[in-house]
Amino acid sequence: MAVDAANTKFVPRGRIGKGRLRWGLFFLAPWFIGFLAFQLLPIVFTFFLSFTDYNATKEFAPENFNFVGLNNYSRLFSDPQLGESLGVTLRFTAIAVPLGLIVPLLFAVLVNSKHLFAPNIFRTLFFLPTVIPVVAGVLVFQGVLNPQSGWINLLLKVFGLEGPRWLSDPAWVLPALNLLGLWGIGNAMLIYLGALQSVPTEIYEASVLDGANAFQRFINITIPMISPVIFYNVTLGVITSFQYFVAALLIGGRNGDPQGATLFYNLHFYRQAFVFNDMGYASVLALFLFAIVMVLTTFMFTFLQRNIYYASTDI
Amino acid sequence: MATIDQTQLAKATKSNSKARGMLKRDIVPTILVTLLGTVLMLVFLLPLGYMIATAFKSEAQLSAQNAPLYPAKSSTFSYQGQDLPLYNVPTSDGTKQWALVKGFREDADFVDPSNVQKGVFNWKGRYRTLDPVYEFSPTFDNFTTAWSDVDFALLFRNTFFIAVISTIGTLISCIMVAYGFARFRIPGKNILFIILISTVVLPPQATIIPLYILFAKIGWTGTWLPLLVPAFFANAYDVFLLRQYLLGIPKELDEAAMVDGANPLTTLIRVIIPQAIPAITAVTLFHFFFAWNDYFQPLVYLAGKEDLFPISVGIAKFVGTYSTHPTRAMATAVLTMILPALLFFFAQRQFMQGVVATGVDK
Amino acid sequence: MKLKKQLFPILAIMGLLLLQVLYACGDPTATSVPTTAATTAAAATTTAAAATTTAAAATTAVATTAAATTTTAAAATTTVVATTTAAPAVPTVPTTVVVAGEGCASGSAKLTWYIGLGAGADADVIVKEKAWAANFNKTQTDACLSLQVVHNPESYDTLKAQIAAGNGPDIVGPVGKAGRASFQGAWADISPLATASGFDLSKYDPALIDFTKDEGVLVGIPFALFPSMLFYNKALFDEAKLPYPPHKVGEQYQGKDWTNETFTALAQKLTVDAKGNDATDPNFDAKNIKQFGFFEGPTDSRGIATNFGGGLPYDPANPKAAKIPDNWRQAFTWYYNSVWKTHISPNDDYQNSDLLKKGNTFDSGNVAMQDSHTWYKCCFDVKKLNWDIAVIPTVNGKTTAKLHGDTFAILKQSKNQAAAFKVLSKMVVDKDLYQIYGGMPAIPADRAEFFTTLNASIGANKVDWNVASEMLKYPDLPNHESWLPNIIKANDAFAKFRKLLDQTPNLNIDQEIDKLQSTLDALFKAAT
Repeated sequence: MAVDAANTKFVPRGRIGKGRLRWGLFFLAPWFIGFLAFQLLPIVFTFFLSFTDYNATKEFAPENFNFVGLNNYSRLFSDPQLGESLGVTLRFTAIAVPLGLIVPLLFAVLVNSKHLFAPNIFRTLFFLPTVIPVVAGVLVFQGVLNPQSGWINLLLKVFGLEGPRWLSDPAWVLPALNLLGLWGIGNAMLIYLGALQSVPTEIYEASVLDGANAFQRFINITIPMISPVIFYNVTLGVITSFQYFVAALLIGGRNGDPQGATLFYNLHFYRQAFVFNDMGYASVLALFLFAIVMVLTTFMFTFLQRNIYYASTDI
Repeated sequence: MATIDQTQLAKATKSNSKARGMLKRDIVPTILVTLLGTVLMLVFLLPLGYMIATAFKSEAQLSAQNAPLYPAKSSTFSYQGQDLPLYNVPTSDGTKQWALVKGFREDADFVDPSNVQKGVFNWKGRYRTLDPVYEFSPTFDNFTTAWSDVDFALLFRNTFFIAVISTIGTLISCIMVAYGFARFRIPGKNILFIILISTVVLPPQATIIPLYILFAKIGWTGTWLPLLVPAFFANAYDVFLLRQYLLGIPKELDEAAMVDGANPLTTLIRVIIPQAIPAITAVTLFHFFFAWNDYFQPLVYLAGKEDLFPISVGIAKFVGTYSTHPTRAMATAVLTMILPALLFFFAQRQFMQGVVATGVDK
Repeated sequence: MKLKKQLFPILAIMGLLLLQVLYACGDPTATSVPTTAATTAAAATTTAAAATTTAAAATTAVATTAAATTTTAAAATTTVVATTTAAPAVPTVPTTVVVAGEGCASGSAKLTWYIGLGAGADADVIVKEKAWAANFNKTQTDACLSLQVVHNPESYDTLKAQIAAGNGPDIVGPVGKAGRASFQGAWADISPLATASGFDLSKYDPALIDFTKDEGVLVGIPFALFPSMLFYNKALFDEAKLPYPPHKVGEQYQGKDWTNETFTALAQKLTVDAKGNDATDPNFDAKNIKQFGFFEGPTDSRGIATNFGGGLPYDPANPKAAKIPDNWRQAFTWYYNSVWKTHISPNDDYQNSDLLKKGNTFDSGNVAMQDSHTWYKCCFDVKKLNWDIAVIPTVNGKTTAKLHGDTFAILKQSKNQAAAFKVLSKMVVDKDLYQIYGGMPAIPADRAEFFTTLNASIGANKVDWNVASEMLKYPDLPNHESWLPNIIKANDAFAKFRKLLDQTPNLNIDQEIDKLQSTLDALFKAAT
């Protein structure tokens, strides 16, 4: 990592180094405190529970659970739904992440275009679905995707096509959930929009003089300049896809209907914890997900981040 | 106006004739881009259209056969004190509008509004296949019912309060932490950052029981504290976003301030924050809407405290388990959406103009 | 300065928001807690200890404001009066805190009543429950009830969190066997409580007492019975010029015995497509159905099965070996065909379509007959629809009408079980609660009055309640919610199976029943 060159230039390094460390810790303090108070506890608690047979219908008190050693962990190897639920999650993620990367970027480019008339209205309307509570959003999609009365299949009928049975056909329910996910891209769009607008205009002007066309400019200037937020969106896209749950629960119910096609990993966890009251094994599942996502995140931070352009190089 | 790019304006002033040419040349792309945007938007907002149309429909229309997709009511004819629905009936003299007195499977009793003296007569055929006469007529009943059944004033106030306080907390803490991560050399910083990210990895459903136990033990359940206090201690999503953004701001800017003798806090306030306005806007809006829509947490922590409910929990009872009222549910959803939508509209106008202006100044 | 220009919008919006907050603060009842909380948090006195003190302070603040707003204006300081009068523009709604403790006798036991696991969390019912509790608190001084109504889908998780933290409610209900099974082992044994308070359980039918036991433990006092029957839409029968279905067991329909076959044929005539063809017509278009002859109300597949006779999915001599009884196989096959072959029942897509009001099927007016329990009167417009009730048809010469018997239970962890039992013993004989939940009183003598009052609430409809009394004589024994080994997972499998039947065309139904049996077999064998 590069030496903090700027500081050495002006002041003797030792003193300011200590001072800056103190400042740095000062700025991180809110998180340190919050981490200890609200975030470490659930993690430790989950870890603790994973060695017990605690059942969620009793008060969490020493007389109400036993230690079972690694029993809960060994169950991972004999759980047929583990693989099934990981499969559902991976299939969903494989579509959701690229979709969540590209579509909001295109929307952001569109609403950032100087050629768009009344961009405020477009921005607001594209963002609008994001402010709809997820419960209501699912209700809307159940209506729109209904094969009998939903507008999407009625629209397809106009073109002489028979629309799929979206939410009751195991082959179509994941695409339907991906569609639902697309509806909430307002946040990602806004992040890209902010990034696009902070690309200094003079860089574009220079490249126009160099004869680059719009597409080349987009690839060679815009993408590198906004790569930090692309990295952000990809990383969080992966994490949130692995955690995907609420909409699936609302659409597929507690059983992952139709026929287990919406049995996401987190639904599997939820069923163990809250439907079957098996907190011990549920904690193992939570920790397993934790491990998977941590490996992925560390991987992304180690390898992907190398390709990110940061104007301030010190990371 | 934000529609005209500032750089274009600046150039336009240089030479009038040249500017006129450029503006004319801009019309075609403007039309094309706007057209593309409109088409995309129509597809994108199809579900929203369904939502709004349903909110303005009567429950009777929703489940009626052959009813139009837009909010409407069937045209009626008043006969002997009864409002009878009108149907387009094909007859040998062309299509007639008759009023249905009583329908059966293979025949129906009608009256002819243009020949009432004839009285009720029987018609052979299936009235179900006839085209009913509808007129566009949105009903506001769903909204008034929702409004009177739910104490919206209280729910809005609660939600607003929770959202504003927790957003302020999030902004202060996340800007600080992100600045710490983006600009300071701290031993093991990368590992710390991954630990920060890891705090969102554990599914919320896994943390609810330990957190509930914690908050119950310290007496916070049944109050807003579990929703407000954690917001003041930063969260990974927003810190990560802000950190990414701050890393994109050239270091020379803060170094210049440092040379002028500013300490890191004043540098943050005077230099970094103004540069990071787009990201701060984004975080403000995200957190505000997150708090606005947050459902499961307030539901669990505020169980039984109806006077403290935010809107998301307050309206849940309309999505009944056995007795759904789809039109009312949609109306309620529309009502909850209006305020955030307006807020977004004005916020993005303010902020985006500010941002474009900076772009020019640079 | 440039800087100022950039900061301005942020400050402006923040200011605007703060103004709103201040405005909100004008209302003392709603905001006293968070204001204190916010100030402390903003001041970043961050330790948990400090925050706890604030919480305590905040609660006192609420207590004071509550006292100030209720009555004793004389005791309230002038400042409080000033703030209350200064905000007349904000509509305060004092009645939302119906039962938060004020108005209770000082020595009364504070009890929490948790609603949501079964019926009772829908908007229309909540109002009545609140009124009932407020009235209850006024009329006696022993106990003071406060309500926790939690939206049904989340109510299980919420209650589990509360139990884990040891601050669960005292009374829970109404809740049925299936709902209680989710909290296996969490319920208090009622028998010793009854003995201690001298409550006479022997006045109840022993069969009914048995019905209220979970795994041998009495978890409640019998409250109400909810027999099932056919709700039918008279207008749709009139339109088809068909006579109404029988109101007595043994009565014929159009010269035929009221068997399941007669019923199916009738339901087919009442199933109509967009062109007006009924389901017996060769041109009938199953993709465009506009009216359904029948809907099996909300129940899992075990509920569907016991319509063909009560039973257990295992050999009573060996509960570890699953065996789906033959009449259950018939029931599953008949139901599956009713969705996909005879088309009299809506499939999952139709159930959730606008046509059937997204699952509020009977209320849509497009379902001719629906099999549901007496509590179903909660869920459709009993005044607007033109409806009545009829008996369930016979299967293999036998009538079976599945039965619900929801009641109220006491949590084991309640710190005040004796007081909770006292309240419970009053609740289970309360005439208003029978009406609120639509349950036939467990004590036969109270039933006549129950139906008279019920009739007053259904508008111009003349409903033949004798049908309900008649159906009570044909319960499903063993009941469709009765105990099974590994019950939570077994119930889960039965719920899944109904969805499978509703959602999937072209199934080999025999094979699917075999699969269900082997799933159950594995669950039973894994039971401890």
